[in-house]
Amino acid sequence: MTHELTVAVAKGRVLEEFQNLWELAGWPWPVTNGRALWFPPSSRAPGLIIARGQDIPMLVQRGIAAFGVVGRDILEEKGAQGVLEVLDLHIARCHLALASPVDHWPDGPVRVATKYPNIAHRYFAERQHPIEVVQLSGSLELAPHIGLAPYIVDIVQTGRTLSHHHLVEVARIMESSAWLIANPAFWRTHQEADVVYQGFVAAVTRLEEECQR
Amino acid sequence: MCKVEQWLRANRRQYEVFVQVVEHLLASGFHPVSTDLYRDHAFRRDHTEAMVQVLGSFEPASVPWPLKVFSTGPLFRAGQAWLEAVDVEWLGEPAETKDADVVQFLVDLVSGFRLEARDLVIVFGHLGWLQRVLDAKGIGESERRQAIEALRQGCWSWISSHWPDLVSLFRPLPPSQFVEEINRWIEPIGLPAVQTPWTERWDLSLTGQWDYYHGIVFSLYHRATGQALANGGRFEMRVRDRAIDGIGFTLYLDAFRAVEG
Repeated sequence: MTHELTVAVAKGRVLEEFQNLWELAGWPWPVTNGRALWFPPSSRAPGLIIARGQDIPMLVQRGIAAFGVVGRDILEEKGAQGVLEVLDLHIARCHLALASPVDHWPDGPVRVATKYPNIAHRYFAERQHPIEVVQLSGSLELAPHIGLAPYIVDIVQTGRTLSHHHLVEVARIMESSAWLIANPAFWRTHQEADVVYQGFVAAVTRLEEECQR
Repeated sequence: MCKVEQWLRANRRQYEVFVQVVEHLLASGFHPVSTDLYRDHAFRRDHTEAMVQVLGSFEPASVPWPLKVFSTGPLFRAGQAWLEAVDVEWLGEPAETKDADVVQFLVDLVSGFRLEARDLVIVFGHLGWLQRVLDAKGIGESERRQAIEALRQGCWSWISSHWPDLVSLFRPLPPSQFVEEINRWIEPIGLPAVQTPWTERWDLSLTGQWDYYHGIVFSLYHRATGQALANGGRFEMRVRDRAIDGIGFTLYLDAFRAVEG
């Protein structure tokens, strides 16, 4: 079939695992020099856009891409208005954690450094614990050691980065994995949307079977 | 044509689209109702609720229900561009206003634009039937509410993960196939006798964005874009302890202009 639809994928940890899933769905991964970020749809595969994770919901909501692949953490942080969350792809699994050099819950009002201010606010608000959020875009692990904030809220995959920086996980906030999201208009008007969705469903099943072997 | 001319022409077309819609509404007996762009510390996100509140402020006995009204102006969407919209509503005694008549009015309105019918798809959902299907499956009130809220929030996977046997009703189906599927769960239903030149699909995952919808809901899409041209449905709201029901739709003018161009 000639594909018309495009999938926007988040760079980084999602993209690393996504290539395998894409190929399991039966689509060849585009040959790239590592710099190309857009591959139009072809007779062999849907199109592909590689973009920053936080931009993926907007690209899908505006119909630039019919589908998006993005971490649950970003959907929870940025919101996912105007898109449909259709499938947990079970890749790029990680969790969001509260971490600190000391292994105990903050005693009284506390400053928290994070890339996820909304999730952090919600989490502490639910526990009626006052916090001040310091928003950072990277190198969160440094924050407790340079006097910026005694606690951080960050993504944890293996825990190695935390232990390398002498931090311990105080609380697990939420689980995350990559999700397939869809533009509602394309989802409801294009037959190919079902083909792409079923391709991912089959790929996720195969990936899980491989993992169990 | 130089850039500024293209820009001016696009602006002109946007205004022409607006005028065309408003003229059609005025000629069809609709009354314009002004609503506030900013009220109660928030930008306007919906004309319908604002219109119902304005009209609900009059002494009920003095209002000549049913009313055909419309409101125009931009709608706020957090993190997105403002949407230029025209909201068209039949208020009060809407049971007398058939779902099919409202859709027919939308067809007549849209036929005035330079759009190919083959590019347009109208998708229908139905909150009442959705409730009945979930009820027939033995799903309790609290879980039903949770499911509908999840669908409103765009969590389509809620259905596939909780009730995979219902999934076919939550994908867009042609009318005859939808009837066949839904009749497996509830007593035979009849679809509204809608005659549109567009492709028609039914999909119970379409619930409308607002929690005041309770019956039929619909979205009109153009195949080439990822945007709705119109959203609408049947609703009920409470204003000063009085229920006001209605049916109508919102047209998104920027989306119309984009597909025309």
